[in-house]
Amino acid sequence: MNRFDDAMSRLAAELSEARAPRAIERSVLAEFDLVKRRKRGKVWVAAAGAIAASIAVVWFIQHKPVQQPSVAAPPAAIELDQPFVPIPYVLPPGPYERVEVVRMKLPVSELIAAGYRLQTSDLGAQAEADVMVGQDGRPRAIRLISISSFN
Amino acid sequence: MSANAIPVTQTMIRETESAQDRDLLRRFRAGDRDAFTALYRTHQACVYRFARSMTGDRMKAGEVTQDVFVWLIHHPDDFNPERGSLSGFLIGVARKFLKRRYSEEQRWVPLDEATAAPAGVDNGDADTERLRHAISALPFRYREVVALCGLEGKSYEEAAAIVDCAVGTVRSRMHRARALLARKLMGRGCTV
Repeated sequence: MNRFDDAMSRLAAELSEARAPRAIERSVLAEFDLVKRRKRGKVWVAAAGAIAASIAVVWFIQHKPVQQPSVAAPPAAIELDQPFVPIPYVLPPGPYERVEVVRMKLPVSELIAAGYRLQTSDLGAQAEADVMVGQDGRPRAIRLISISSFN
Repeated sequence: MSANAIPVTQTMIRETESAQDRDLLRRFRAGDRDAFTALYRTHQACVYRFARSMTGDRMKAGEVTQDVFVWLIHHPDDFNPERGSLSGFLIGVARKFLKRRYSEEQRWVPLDEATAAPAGVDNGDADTERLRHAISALPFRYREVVALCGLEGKSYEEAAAIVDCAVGTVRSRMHRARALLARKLMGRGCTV
């Protein structure tokens, strides 16, 4: 074996005994503990966040403003969108006559008696209508809004 | 024991070590401090030796070893056992830290005294010291194969996996490194 190989072998043998100083192990383990603590802290923060979110959701559900059920129109109500219909046998308003429109409830039977043709068989029903009143105070025309069933 | 039994025994030892490493890694990933301590104690020496061969400096080697294991703490899932041994992987990490350190040190011009070859009598220890100095003065790519194959006793295949190049490249670099070392030591009576 020449001197080069001999030196190489000596160096390898010398190195084979080499170990990192103990201080490095201590500092590496300290880093391990630090990272572990941080991770644990993150888990706690996440858990606390989840709990806070759950509490918030429960609180929101419990304190949710109760929505009033919308007052739906009675199923029997029939919405109508009709123009003013002149009252039979009454003169229509003049071209420049000032009129007033008054909304009122009228018995359906009265309207039929006045000559209106209404598509309802319930004679006891009430009709909501806009009544056009002339300057002389007489009704001239009627516009039906809805018919409410008596029942 | 027959000649064929040695590689088989070595393979069995490696398999056992690998299984132990896997178990320790699994526990370390789960936050087991004792498992990490065992991993450190098992592998610190090879990382430290490699770093010391590369730097020729105890303190720097210690710092690199610390960097490697701190890195492992922060990247516990980066090691894939199917791609090689844990020690090879850690040496690969050390190599990256050394490369970074080397490129940073390139910015500084060393003092002549610091790089001067040690003088002394021509005995065995002096040769060793000169060789150590010559190795640390080699270019990085040659130094790492000398450290791995010449000093650490890794095979060319293992060194190729660590250095991430072909086996032939490792072989040619080793050959070239020996020639360079011989040339540096030639004036002092060494032959290759």
